[in-house]
This record gives sequence, structure tokens and C-alpha cells, in this order.
Amino acid sequence: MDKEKFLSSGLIDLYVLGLASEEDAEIVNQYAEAYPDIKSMITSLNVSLEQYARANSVDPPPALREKTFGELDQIIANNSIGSKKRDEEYSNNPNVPKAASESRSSVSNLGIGVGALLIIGLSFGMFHFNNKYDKSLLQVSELNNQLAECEENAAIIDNNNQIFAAQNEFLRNERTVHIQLNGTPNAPNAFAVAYWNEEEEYAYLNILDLPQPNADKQYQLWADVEGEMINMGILDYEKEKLIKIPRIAHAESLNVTLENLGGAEAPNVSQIFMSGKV
Amino acid sequence: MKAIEKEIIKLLHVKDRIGLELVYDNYAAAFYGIALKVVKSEALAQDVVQESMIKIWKNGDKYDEKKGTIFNWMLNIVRRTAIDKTRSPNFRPKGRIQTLDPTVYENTWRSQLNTDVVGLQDMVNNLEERYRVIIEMAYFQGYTQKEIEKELDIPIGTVKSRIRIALRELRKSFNLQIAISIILAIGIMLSSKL
Repeated sequence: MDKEKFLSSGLIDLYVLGLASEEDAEIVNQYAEAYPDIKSMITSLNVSLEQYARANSVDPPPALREKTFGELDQIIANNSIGSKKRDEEYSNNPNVPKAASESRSSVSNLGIGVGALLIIGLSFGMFHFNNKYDKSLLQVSELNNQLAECEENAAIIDNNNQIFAAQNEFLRNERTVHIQLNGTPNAPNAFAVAYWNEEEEYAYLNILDLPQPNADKQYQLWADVEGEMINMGILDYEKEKLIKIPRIAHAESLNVTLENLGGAEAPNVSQIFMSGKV
Repeated sequence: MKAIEKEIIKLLHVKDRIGLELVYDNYAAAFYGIALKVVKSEALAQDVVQESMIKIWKNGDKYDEKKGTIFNWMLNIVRRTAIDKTRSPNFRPKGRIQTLDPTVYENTWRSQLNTDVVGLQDMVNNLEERYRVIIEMAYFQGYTQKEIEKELDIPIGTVKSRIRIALRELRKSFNLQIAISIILAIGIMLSSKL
């Protein structure tokens, strides 16, 4: 993997979040060793995240400290590993940093001033550089993501195109006829058009007006073949969209009934909502 | 690496009690804040901190600098301990995801925030909600990208780029913070000279 590819791979992000696998962490370490700029980026990301975690700090109750170290002391006693002597050495050692204490430098103010000016210059330089560097990294990664999204969209559009082309061909076919399904007293305004072609195994239904069923009900489509109602399947309630339906040979009429969720084996004839002669 | 971290690593390596005291005094509040976000119970979060401290003590000699910072190593222990708590049969789940909604703890931790570092609060506030959510899921709660994808129902590509943007924003605001701290320090120094 070249450096650019590594940078846009997102491995560094996983690494600093502590989510990288051992192998991935090893890869990141190798790049950090090889490229000082990567190393410094990781360091600054780590520091920023740590600061962020600290920004979410909540002081635990003081008793927790006693409880924790009480447990620790028991463990230590059990393992009979004492460290009293080290404690003393430690507290006598002035070089050891303390969390809350701040060391005061004895360097002259002038020295500090010059040093501070230098640091300002450097930190602004670094800030500027980091920003620019970040921006280009981000652009690469965003472009990669956009490319992936474009490819996904293109696949969806391609698929839709194929569906539309098939529908278009079906509708323009000279043997395709229109069947009007009109509403019954159950739904006087209901209206749908089926596109029917005796040479095809399927047909289309376009629901133009039909009341939305309750959540526990579904519409079901039936074909009347010589007095027998043949199940053509449950209709998804989608208005003004071509719904693909099977074509039943020798169908004399198409009928839509309202059934319980999941559909029925025989139609509920009192609940016919639309009907049309083939 | 900061001097305090070096000292902690050194002391934990030889199992010196002071090492753990330094850890506690420097990091317990951060750990407690994170544990609260995951387990959403003060009592449980305290257990998490206590257990984590003991694990840090027991495994401190196994910490390897090559695998990341000592802070990240400890954080990992804390979040794993916290997540284990949520998986225990006694845990009454409210759903891990709910920690991301504004919770009752929000006010607590906001008000108890350590204000010793300039602009920390801004750092949190400046991060847009959608980035904050992802960083907290990944960093505080150890969600993988796939888990985030599933939980938030957004494409993995978007998860990745949001993580990237969130980290960049954090880093940017941190860099800016340093610059401001330096300017403030110099301002104070110059005014004290006058």
C-alpha cells in the first residue's frame, strides 16, 4: 500500500480510536516509523481525543478513591508485594511530576519572551500546515467515498432503467390492452388501470385512486376464471406506480378485495373494492 | 509523551502503588465520565472505575507503547469493563444508543467539567451533533464502524467520512486552543511585567 492509499484507508482513524485490530495497529506502527509526518499526525490526534475525553470528565465521589485503594491494598497484601520504600523515595524525589503542581522556571523573562514568540510562530506555522494537510487528506477520502456512492447510485439507476425499458416496451406493444377497474359501493371513487398482454406472463396494474387500508388490512387481487376466483397475490398499497402482477390465462375479470393482513385463500366477496372486465 | 505518562508507565511496570495513584488522580474523572455514558448509573459507573483501576494495576506491566498511548490503553480497559456491565444479566438495559440522547447526566458532567484547560468546553460544543455522536460511539463506547452503520442506519462510507471529519475538527479545535493558550500566557506575562 502506498502512502496516499494508506492515508485514505481510514486505518489511522481506527487506530487512534482504539478500534484497530492487532494487525492493523502493526501496519499503522510501520507507517508511523517510516513517515515522521504520519507519526506527528497520530500524536496530535491522540492528544486531541484525550482532551476530548477529559472534556467529558465527571468527578467521582471522593469515597471511590478510598474504596479503590482499599481493594488494591488488599490485593497487594495478599501478594505480599510491598512498595513502601519506593513510596518514600518517590515522594522525596523532586524530579517526579505531580498532577496538580506546576513547576516554575527560573529562566529570565526575556528568555521566556523570545522562546514564547518562537513557539507562537512555530505553532501557527504547524497549525496552518496541519490544516492544509488535513484538508487534502480529507478531500481524498471524501472523493473516495463519493466515488463509491456514485457507483452504488449508478447501479441503482441502471437497474431502474432496465425496469423502465421493459415497462415501456410492454406498454407500447400493440397487443397490450387497457383494463379499467372501477370502484364498487365499498369505494365508489376507486379506480385503477391494468395493462394486459395475452402474450406475456405478467401484466401491470396502476392504482390511481383507492382508500388507504387500515394497518391490519391488505388489498388482494383475484382473477375470475370460469366462475372461480384465482389468487393473484397481495397488492402493495402504492398509488400511481406500475405494479407488476401475474397474468392469468382465460381471466374474465380482475377484482380487488380487502382482506386481513397476510391475505386470504378465498376472497371476501362482500369486500370487493374494485373490479374490471378483461 | 508527557512526563506524567512516562512516570505512570514506569511505576505500573514495577507494580508501584504510586503509579496507580497517579492514574487515579489524573484520569479517574475522565474514566468516570465515560463509564457514566455507557452504563448510565452512578453506582455502576463507580464499579466500572474501581474494577478498571484494578485491571490497570494487574496488567500495567503488560502495556506496550507500540500498541498506542497509555491513555488509550487504559480507556480501552474502562470501556470494555463498562460494556461488560451492560451485558450482565442484572443490567436493566435502556439501550446503549440512548446514551447519545441528551441524558440526565449531561447536566451533571457539563456542570462538573474540569475547567483547567482553556476551551475544553468549546471543544465539545464546537463539534456538530452528528460528529459528536459518532465519536462518542466509537471512542467512548467502542462501537465498530459496522455497528455504527447498523445502529444509526447510515452507509458505512458515511460512517467513515464522518469519523474522519470529526477527528479533523477535534484536532483543529485543539490546535487552535494551544495557540490561544500561548497568546494568553504571553499576555499575562507581559502585563505582569508592566
